[in-house]
Amino acid sequence: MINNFLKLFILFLSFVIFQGCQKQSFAIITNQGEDTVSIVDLQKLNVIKTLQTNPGPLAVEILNNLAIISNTKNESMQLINLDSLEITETINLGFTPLGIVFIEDKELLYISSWYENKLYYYYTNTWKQAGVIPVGLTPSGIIYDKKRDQIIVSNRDENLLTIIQDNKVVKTIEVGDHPFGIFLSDDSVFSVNVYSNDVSKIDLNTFDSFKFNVGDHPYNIISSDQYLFVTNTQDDSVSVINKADFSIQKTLKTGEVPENLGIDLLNNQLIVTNWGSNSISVFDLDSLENIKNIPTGRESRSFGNFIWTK
Amino acid sequence: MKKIVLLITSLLFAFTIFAHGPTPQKVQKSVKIAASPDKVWEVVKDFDNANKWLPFVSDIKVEVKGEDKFRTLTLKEGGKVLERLKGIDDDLMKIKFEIVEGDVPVADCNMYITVAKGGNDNESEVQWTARFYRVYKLNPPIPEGQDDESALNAMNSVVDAALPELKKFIESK
Repeated sequence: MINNFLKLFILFLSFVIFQGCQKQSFAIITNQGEDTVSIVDLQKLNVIKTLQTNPGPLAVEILNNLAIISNTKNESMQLINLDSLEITETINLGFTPLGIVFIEDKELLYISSWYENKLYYYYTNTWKQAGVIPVGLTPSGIIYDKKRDQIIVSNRDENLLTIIQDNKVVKTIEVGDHPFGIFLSDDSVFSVNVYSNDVSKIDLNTFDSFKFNVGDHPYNIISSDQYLFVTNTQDDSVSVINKADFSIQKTLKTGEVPENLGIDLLNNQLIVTNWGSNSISVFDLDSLENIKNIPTGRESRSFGNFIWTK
Repeated sequence: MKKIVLLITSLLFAFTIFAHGPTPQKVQKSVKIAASPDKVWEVVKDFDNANKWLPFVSDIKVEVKGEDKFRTLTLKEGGKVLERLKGIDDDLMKIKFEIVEGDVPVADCNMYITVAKGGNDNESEVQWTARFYRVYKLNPPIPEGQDDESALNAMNSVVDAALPELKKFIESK
């Protein structure tokens, strides 16, 4: 009898510990056309909460248990506490923000100022402005290359990437026509060129570069171990690129006007935001099959890192 | 109708695909038509003869250059719009086209029209979606007529006028 009770107790305890340790992941989806953010549970594949934001939410960056969003029509950024799922702070910027990147080691957040052709950076412990860096025209995507301690920015209307070290521009690189989304993978930076329908690959050690073609009006790019994924906004598709030879391995059918991508490592899924059909598409990363399309909000975008795992 | 055409044509801003603001604008509207999807799709996919139902168009001229097909719409109230066909998908019943240049205060305007089954076999739903940017890309002050609102007003006017005419055209056939 006691033995049985002990067994049950141990079973119960194991269950409680397992539940406590179980990880969860969420997608933070900015819906620019209705000034909301949808929080999507990536295991249950449903929207668990919708938050009202300031006008024009676009970019997302994750900073520990905070999601930072840039509001393009309101010159502000807002912080969402991902434990309570509430907006906890609004920071007035005084410029139209676009891309955001967080550098954890330095506790700094960099934000591109679209109209001013500048990159501002903020202390993340006080949210005070720490400095400003002039860059090229219409700075859009931003990534941090930790290995070389440098920031890379795409300058859309100048067909350039800008490389920044010690908060100074040290190099510019020519890419295709209208670069927007950029991504770092295997010592190379990839720039998606919206008007030339291709992707530039630049080796960050040698600066050798080449381009490969994708679909119509490509927008952003992300990488898994095996593939690069590129959204084609005017083809309603994602090109799956083989990382060995940069050939198109497969084309995934998405919702309408797909823009941005996230990898949910926990559930082995690719998440695509569909601006046209106001939804996200979820694909299994092994089978590359579409698992579900989830309605989110009008003009779903989420430019940047929008997957949060806890 | 006249007001709509006047709105579009009186602005007469030079169109350039290389200049636009940061936020894409969206117009997405639909109409229900009392006809089968096949019948509706036959009309919607006919890129060369859309002047039969587009209410603000007095003439249409189609040109093929290499693999591309273009149509020049002459507007009843004056002005022209050059559009390029980007694809016709019979399986999805979806036609895609873009404005190359013209007297509309928008930039980088890509559009698609889809036909889907309605509530019964003899009803269809047509949806027209446009993604575009305003003409002026720099810091405020934005010149009058080149802002987001002007771009949205113009495209809303086009779609608001066109869909009821498409319905009328097909249902009277």
